[in-house]
Amino acid sequence: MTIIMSGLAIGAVYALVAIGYNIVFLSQKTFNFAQAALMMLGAFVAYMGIAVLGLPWWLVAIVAAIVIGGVAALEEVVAIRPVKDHHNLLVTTLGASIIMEGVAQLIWGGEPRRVPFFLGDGVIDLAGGRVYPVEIALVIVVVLLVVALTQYSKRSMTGIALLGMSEDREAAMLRGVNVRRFAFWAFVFTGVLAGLLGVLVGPKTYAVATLGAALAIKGFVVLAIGGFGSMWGTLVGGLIVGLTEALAARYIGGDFANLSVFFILIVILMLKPTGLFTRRTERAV
Amino acid sequence: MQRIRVKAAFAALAVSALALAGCAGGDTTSPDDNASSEGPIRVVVFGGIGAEGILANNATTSVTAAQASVAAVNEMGGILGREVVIDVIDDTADPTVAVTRLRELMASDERPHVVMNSGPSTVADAMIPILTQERVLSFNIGPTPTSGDPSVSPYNFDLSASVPDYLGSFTYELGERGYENVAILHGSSAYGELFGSLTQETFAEAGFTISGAQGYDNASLDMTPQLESLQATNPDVLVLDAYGAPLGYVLQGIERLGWDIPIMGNTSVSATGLIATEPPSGVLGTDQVRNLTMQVFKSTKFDPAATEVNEAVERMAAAGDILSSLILAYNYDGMLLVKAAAESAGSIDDVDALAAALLDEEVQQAANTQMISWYRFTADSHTPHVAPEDFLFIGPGPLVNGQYQ
Amino acid sequence: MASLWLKLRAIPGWVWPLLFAVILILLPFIGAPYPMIRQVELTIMLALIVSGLNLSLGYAGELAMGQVAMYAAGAYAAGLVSKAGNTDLLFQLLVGAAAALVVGLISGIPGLRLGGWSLAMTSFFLILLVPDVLSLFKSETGGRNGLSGIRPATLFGEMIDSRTYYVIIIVVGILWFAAMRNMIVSRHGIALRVLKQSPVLASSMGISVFRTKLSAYAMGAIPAGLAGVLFANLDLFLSPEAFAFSFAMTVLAASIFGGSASVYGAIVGAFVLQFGMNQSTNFQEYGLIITGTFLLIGGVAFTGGISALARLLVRRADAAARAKTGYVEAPASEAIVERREGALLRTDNVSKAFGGNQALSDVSVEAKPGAVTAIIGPNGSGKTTLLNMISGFYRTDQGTITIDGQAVHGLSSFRVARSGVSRTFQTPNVPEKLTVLEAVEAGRYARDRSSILAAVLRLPSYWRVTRDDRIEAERALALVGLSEQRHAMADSLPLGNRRLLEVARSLVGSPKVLLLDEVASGLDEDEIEVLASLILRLRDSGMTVVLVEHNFRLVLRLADVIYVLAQGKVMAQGTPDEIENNPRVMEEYLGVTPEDEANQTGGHHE
Repeated sequence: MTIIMSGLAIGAVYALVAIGYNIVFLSQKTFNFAQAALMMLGAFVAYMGIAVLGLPWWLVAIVAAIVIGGVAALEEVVAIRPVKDHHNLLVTTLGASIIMEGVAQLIWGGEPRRVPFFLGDGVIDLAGGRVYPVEIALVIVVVLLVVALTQYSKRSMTGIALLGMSEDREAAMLRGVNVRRFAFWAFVFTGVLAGLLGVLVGPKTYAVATLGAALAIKGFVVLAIGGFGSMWGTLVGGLIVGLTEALAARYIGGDFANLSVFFILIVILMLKPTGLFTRRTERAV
Repeated sequence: MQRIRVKAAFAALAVSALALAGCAGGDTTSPDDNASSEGPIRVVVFGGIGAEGILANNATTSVTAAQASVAAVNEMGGILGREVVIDVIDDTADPTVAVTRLRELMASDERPHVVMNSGPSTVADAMIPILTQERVLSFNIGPTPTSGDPSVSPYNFDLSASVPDYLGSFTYELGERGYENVAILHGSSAYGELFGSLTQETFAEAGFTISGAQGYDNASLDMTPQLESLQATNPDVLVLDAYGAPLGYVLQGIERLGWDIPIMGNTSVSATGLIATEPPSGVLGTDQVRNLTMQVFKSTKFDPAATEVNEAVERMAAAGDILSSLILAYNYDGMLLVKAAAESAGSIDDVDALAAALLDEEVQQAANTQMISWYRFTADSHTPHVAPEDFLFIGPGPLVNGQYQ
Repeated sequence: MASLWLKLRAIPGWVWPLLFAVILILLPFIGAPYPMIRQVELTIMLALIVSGLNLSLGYAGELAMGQVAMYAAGAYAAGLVSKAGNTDLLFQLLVGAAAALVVGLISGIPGLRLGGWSLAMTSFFLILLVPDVLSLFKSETGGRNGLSGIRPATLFGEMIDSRTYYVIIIVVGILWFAAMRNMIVSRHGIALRVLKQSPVLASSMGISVFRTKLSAYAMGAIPAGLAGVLFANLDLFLSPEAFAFSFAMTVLAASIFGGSASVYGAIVGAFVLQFGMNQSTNFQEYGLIITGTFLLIGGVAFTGGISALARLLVRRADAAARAKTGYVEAPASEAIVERREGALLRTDNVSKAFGGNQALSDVSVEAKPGAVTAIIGPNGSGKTTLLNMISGFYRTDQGTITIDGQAVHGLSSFRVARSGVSRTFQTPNVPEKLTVLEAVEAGRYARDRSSILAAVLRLPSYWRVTRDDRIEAERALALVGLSEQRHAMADSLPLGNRRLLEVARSLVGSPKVLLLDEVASGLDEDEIEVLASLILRLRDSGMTVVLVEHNFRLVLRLADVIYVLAQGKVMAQGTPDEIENNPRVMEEYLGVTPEDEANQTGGHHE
């Protein structure tokens, strides 16, 4: 049970990265390689606020949301907006993520920093397993986030615009959606999210400069399994990757954790090439 | 047909190019035996200062140690009356980059007398054959299977204790504490893999039972699964290799499992700042490290009585940052060894004489090295032979200038 | 000045890279310092890998980063062969390329079925697994500790000194880039570019999307394998770190900086990255920031890469020089339509539903050789759907489609095309970065077969097919009146010319059945005249012509038989006279009376 819970918690962290990828994908049809690096910065801001300055967690979360949102806005302006080719974006956002890692390392060094969780760091017993409070919080927050985002995109204008943009930019533009502006705010939102959640991610993963590199690819795997563009897919994908990793490492061996995830990924994609939650559209001529 | 002629010309070109090269072949860069015998003595230290994450910290400590070593030797009046100068080269801990920079260096006018590296062992593996070929004395802190073997690498001396020495100290301590069943958990770095396989071998030979051995990916965020499967084997003690953030995840995992087991960490554990930092930023003094002891050199534990070690630390602190523990400060001993060897050989320019002198017990003693007190290089093995007494197993404490207080 | 430029341009393009390579070879002999030599060696290896990526990313249009795994396969294959005692470099190159090819095929077959981002992410993940796989075979590969003890390479039993080794690296580079260049400028290269732009168009021309992509991907494995072998024998030490994700990103960045859709861009990109990245180590703890900034600025600055920029400049210079010197294009070919063979196209009771929407029900249409069969109907009546069913883009739910009695429903679209069906698209589908002539030549891909190997080695079959392609394309251009634009870029043509280009492309492969989808919309009066007379001449030559058209006047003028579709059903059929006098057709379904129809000529764009 403990293994399953720890797998779920890791899956939740992967899913958070995937949600960030997804929001940008829906609005811009591209990926922000630096998404995980934004989360890494979020964890460091949480570390500064909570561990070093001793500020209340909610204040830290708000400040982090503003700071990382700002970083994301800067990234959008510098590394996304001026680029015309989609494949170039992979390189520019990768460049942005390397810069973020370099800056974090320059400021905070290479050592991991612990971030205390505001609801306590003691292990608790739950349903026959043992978990950290922050892990329960992570899982709950990810589920709530997915529910909220799905509801939001169903109901609100912004959500409709997001979906509209991804499905048909021209049509969205004709309907009067300011594609450029929505894409920008969607991007900033992923930064805000990364900052806001730093107070949850930091206690789980520590604030460490290499965090981005560790998370970036797993986030993509989650997305590929769940289906590009599907919010529920990130949840299920995170669940699958987290559990596969944990169970493979427990029962087959540590060397097989990644190999097992790859195997599951290939099997799922062979059965459903667009991922679990994305429908394939018949080719239009 | 014009195109066909072109094709023929093409083939001819390729062949003639080969022939041309064949004719010119035969004279590889034959090193003019050593650097100039006038002017300052040149030392170069390689380190992955621009590498990612914690590797950069280690490299910084290692480079600082080399700089302090040069400062110490110059304070003593240099080597054979000549000043020693040091250059730092960033290899980003990447073997290919290291080879490129080393080749550049060797082709330049300023061939060094001594080269030191800062690991990791993959960099050493790539660099040492070139240094051997170029007949340059080198000190290495990332041991490889052949780096300490004089028949392969006659001019290289490993400064870090060999893995068997580390393990010797482990077996000694395991025996002292009366453990029988040992579980091993190690990372996926080159060193971690080596540690993992050698511990299993050595402990089994020494009569301990290996209840389980597990590896984890250094990029993973949770080691609970590996720990749980080790826990299931019911060992008396957990021997741990972990470094940086993974150490934090391992300790979290042990706490989560509520597993009350003695943990013996290797020098990678003691080189991680997290366990030497008090909450909220670190875990020093928390339940997570209650059962932890870790391997250090005597010099890494602060001792007010060890004045010479303390002077060495002051020198390093003056030369730069000590970002990790003194475990990575072997390079400090490098120039002390060179000074003793050169003064015994009467010259810095004859690399064979230097290498021979370094094998002399008297030279090794006269060098008055600080990180490891006596290196005990032999004609069969250019690796320090460190007795278990030179190591300590200590609980975590605050780290000041690379020393546990 | 201008004439000097034109003279330089008259020298075949491959001379310049060859000249460059010769200069590179001479470097060590004119006293270039060792560090520079090593940088060049590493650059050429990087360029080889990048060139493999260019084949899949730039030409096949798939972001598949498997090259790094293939590079590792080549390197470890060479290392293990060397340790096993065979140090012969040529043998190792062969083994390395084969090992890489195997990895390429294994990862390519499932990977390319995925396509798109799934493929990209899967291939990223594949790279992360390289160290895991190596450590599974620890005793052979040395696992994460790396493989050491590789013995120095030999060639024909002789030891290779470092200078010779340098020359060998450059020669391998020359041979690969010559092969790649030969492939890219051949019809296979054009096919790849068409495919990248539009898989739909490619398969309508008889190009198998999957096989073509797979062969590009597999071919891209070869240079990666060669580079691996060269790398293993350069430092005689391999560690999994050399094949890490960061290296994959270096390869990607080099591809993009140099220009993915170019042959020599790989070399330019590799130089930029190799020399640029080497500088970043001078910044020590700022190294990461500098590297990141370098990638960011490069990615922003080079859309389409440095090679696209260079190409643009050269083209401008060409145009300027031609304008100055009064350059004259070669005269057009004669516009003759020779005797062609048609085929009987029949659809019997064809039905198709998308979700709950019945797009076609029980549609039976017959198009005879030597006749123009028109299909008309309001928007959404299923005309284009019917064409798509015939071309094999959609599967029939029920009913049969036959050509001269042979069933073609259920065949993939490229097979339908190969059985003699050729078509144009409602929105002209014109590939980027091809000249008009090349775009038309591409239409002959399925007509004559000539292997990639023939193209790479320039065998006689290659020359024959290339000559035929050229003659037929010139003739097709003359037929539609586009001969003067033959060297213009296809995607720069105005709409009307693009439609004519599509007609030329669909004719050039001598199809039996020609499907024209709204081919007259967007044409001016003169162009419509050219087109109308061409269609009539094609009909007279014996071809089967199917015309889907909004321009009712034109249909009445050209068609021998007209089918009227409404809500997915055939509501009327007959000769132009019968249809024109069928009041129900005129009023209910076309919504016009014959008198206003004249005003509508050419007015539709949908």
